[in-house]
Amino acid sequence: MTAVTRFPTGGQYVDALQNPRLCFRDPELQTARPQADSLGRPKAISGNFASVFSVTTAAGQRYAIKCFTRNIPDQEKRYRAVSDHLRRLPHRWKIGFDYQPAGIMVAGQTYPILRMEWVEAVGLIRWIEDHLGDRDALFTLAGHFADLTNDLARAGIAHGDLQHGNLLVASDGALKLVDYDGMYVPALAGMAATEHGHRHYQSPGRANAGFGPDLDRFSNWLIYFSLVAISADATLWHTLHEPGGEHLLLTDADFADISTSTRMAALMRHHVEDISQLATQVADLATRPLSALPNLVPLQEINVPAPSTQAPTQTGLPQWMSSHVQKASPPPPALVPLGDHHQLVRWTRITILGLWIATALTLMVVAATDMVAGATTLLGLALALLASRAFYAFLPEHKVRKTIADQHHQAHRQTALAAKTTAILEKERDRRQGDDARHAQADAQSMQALRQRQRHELDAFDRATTTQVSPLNALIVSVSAKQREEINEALALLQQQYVTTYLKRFVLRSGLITGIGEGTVASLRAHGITTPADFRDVVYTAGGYGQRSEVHIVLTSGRSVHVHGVGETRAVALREWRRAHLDRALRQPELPIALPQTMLQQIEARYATERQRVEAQREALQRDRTSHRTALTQKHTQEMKQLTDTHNRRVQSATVAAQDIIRRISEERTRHQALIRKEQDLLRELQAYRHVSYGRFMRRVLFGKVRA
Amino acid sequence: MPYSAEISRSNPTCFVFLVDQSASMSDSIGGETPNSKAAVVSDAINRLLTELSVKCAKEEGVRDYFHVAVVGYGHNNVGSAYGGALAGRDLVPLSQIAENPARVEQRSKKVPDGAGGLVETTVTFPVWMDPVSNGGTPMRQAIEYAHHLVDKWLSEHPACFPPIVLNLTDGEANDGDPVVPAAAIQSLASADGPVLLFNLHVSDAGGSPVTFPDADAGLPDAYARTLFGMSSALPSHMRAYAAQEGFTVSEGTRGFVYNADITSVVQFLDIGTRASDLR
Ligand SMILES: Nc1ncnc2c1ncn2[C@@H]1O[C@H](COP(=O)(O)OP(=O)(O)OP(=O)(O)O)[C@@H](O)[C@H]1O
Repeated sequence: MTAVTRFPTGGQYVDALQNPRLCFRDPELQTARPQADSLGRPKAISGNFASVFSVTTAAGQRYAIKCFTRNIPDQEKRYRAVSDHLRRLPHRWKIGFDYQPAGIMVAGQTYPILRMEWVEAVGLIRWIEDHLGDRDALFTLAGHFADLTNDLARAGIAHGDLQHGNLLVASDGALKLVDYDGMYVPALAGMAATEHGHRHYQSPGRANAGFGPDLDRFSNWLIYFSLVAISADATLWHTLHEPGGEHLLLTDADFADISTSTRMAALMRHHVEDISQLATQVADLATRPLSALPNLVPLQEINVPAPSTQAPTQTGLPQWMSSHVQKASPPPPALVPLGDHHQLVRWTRITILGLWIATALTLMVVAATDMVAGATTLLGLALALLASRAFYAFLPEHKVRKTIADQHHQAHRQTALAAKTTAILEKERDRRQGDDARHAQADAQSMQALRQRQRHELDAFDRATTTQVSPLNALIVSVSAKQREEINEALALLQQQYVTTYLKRFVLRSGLITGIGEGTVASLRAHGITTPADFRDVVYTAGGYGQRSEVHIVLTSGRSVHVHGVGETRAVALREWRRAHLDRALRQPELPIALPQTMLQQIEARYATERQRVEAQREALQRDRTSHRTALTQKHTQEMKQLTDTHNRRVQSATVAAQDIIRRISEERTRHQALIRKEQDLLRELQAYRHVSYGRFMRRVLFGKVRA
Repeated sequence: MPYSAEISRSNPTCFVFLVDQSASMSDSIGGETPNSKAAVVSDAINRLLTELSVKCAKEEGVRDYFHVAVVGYGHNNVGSAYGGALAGRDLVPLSQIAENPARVEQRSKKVPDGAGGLVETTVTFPVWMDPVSNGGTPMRQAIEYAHHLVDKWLSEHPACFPPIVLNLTDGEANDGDPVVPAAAIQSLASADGPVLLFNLHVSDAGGSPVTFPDADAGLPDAYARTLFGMSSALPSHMRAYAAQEGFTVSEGTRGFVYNADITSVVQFLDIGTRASDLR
């Protein structure tokens, strides 16, 4: 054991740091001011082995000062070796430090400190919570972490305590590794580990692992996997990480018994294949010794199926529209003129003329009233109009134009319809996305609620077990204590017997003790006192009011007697005589120092039955509790499995439905796009016929030049 | 294995301090600078609360690894002994304790200057409770009060590290035999093991200070022996820490201290999630 084993408490360091000039040895630190807490005292950041303080020197340099509260064997040697080894490495994650073996004075004693560069960074859990949902950031950090583990592995180093508290993330996303107390470097081969690391980051194999380069193997995989899983599915953080918990997604209980772990089950059955595969791998690694674990191999990318809960990117024009807009319109088709159609024009004219004449004749013959005349004129006009339209309808270019116009009209209607369908589908998609998000959240909540209920149920069950078992434990302890006591008593009795026999050999004779003559010997004999074995002690009874105090001799029986003629002086002499023989008796080699084997066995046998009875009772109780507990955890696993399966099914069918609707939207958009194009083409064609019209035709009929 | 549960924000545990405030506590305890027993005990409590706060301090502040009650007994009544903003409260989350001492004193202290001399400096000393001493010693009632607090806590936190009840007293109970309720509170358990009852005995009976004994043979009087008898055995990892700090320990070592410093009890707790190799 080293010289100093008792270290100051965190509170004592807080006191000492109030006077940096007195407590520090380093002149630079003597000028430093510690960062203060809300009460104005130096603010500590404590771990289990140390308290760390942030101080700023007069020159403005900021340091982290680590003050140790527990002894770490060979600390100086370890830090020197780590420092030498790290000096040669260029890595970004390391922090500079300086071990000062007598850096601080507390209550008149010096203790070591570690002066480190202050790392401006946040702890891993805080960082994760700040970046939840940022898939890329988390995946990138996982990559950085993988790089870090490979740096360490290549350099033959193990950190020994990889965990969220020792991984800090700087504002530029760089990872920083702190706390090198338990670090292994090759120069330390053969020494013992100082600690076993954070409990939620170790496989059960860690306890038996020595101190070597493979200490981090399991933690590496575990941390990497957790980061990747959170990156792929942020809801895992809400369902598996306990608020305020000192772990990422999994805890030591999950590795200790993978088959009953509901957390493991949720991960191994996860709908994202990369997660379920990595989870299965981590579960497998937890069952193997550290030395058998491979180095971390990071994923190149993570494959997450189209999440229905993510809104499509809505920036800029939709793809279908931009392609449409960008395309230059083709040159318009040549204008189609209204043909001459002499024949038809002529026939039209003749018909109209005929009708005029017929109308005029009718009016003359009938000589009708004004009203009838008007009606007839109108009729004539109408007939002329109808006839001319009929002739116009015979024009071939009009027939073509009409077909195009019809097509255009139809295309227009279809375009509008397609637009409406797309809008309906999009609305449907948005509604589904909202529903899916709500379902996912509800599922996450019910999983968390179930986990909490199960945890409480199991904890309460375990509590009941302990409450029942503890009294039996106490009984066993007390049986053992009673046995020890009885053995001691039996031995004491044996020793007493020996002493009595021994003392009986010395018979009091006159003149043997100065001042004790024949008469006193006789009076003593009258009370049965002849050897030192016949009395125990000499006492003075307090004299009552008006009485003298008397000397009494305490007999072996416990009764005390007053012996005539034995006053204070003789009593003291008697006591001395007895003590001298007693001392000698106790020094005799024949004095029994242990119970004879047979007696010992007798006593042990008697207690063994008692102990076995209680032990059997305890065992039966434990068996019973264990089987009930197994049933309980099975029920829990089943419940969780059901919920996880329902959730997975829902996610899967939602994904399918989402993909379906997204496909339909895109089909509808393609169709819409084609229709718009068609409509525009038709429109352009139609415009080529803008000279083919009834008006132009009539103008030609009425005012056109008449050619032969 | 019992006493291995993690102490963390998601698995907090509780501490109940029972403070004797009876009239006999005003007697002075010997030593270089004689001090009343009541002052010794309140200093011990204030120091324990400071140590707990420092031990649970992280970059963002003090974490609620513990909920702590300070229960005074004397003047024939039992109740919260907090002063200031926390007055009247029973179990208080540690972060609130750290933020709310009744006041912060400046205490002057002579410390070695490193060159063989002494210099006078001042250090701050947060105070949560002041010394009080009057009336009888309802220790039995106090332990029952703690029983009630701990029982309720356990039903809400069935798997926590077993709650620790620390009784600071001169031992002269006058409301009946404290051994019975002491046994009763130790029969409460979390999944991780039975409740721990530790005792700090401040006494003017003399004799040398005793820390974590495993037998009552060397104890000066019947009060000390009774308190020793009702103290729980130290769990194995605490025993290992005690051994590491130079105390001699055995299976029978108990959480009992006679006229000595009790703050090491806080040092022996594995806070956070460290599976220390001393288990
Ligand atoms: N150089 C540093 N710069 C900034 N913060 C630091 C530095 N070193 C340590 N810290 C902070 O102090 C905390 C405790 O430090 P450290 O882990 O070294 O102590 P420990 O007692 O060994 O803790 P643990 O119980 O985690 O092993 C760290 O979690 C970190 O937040």
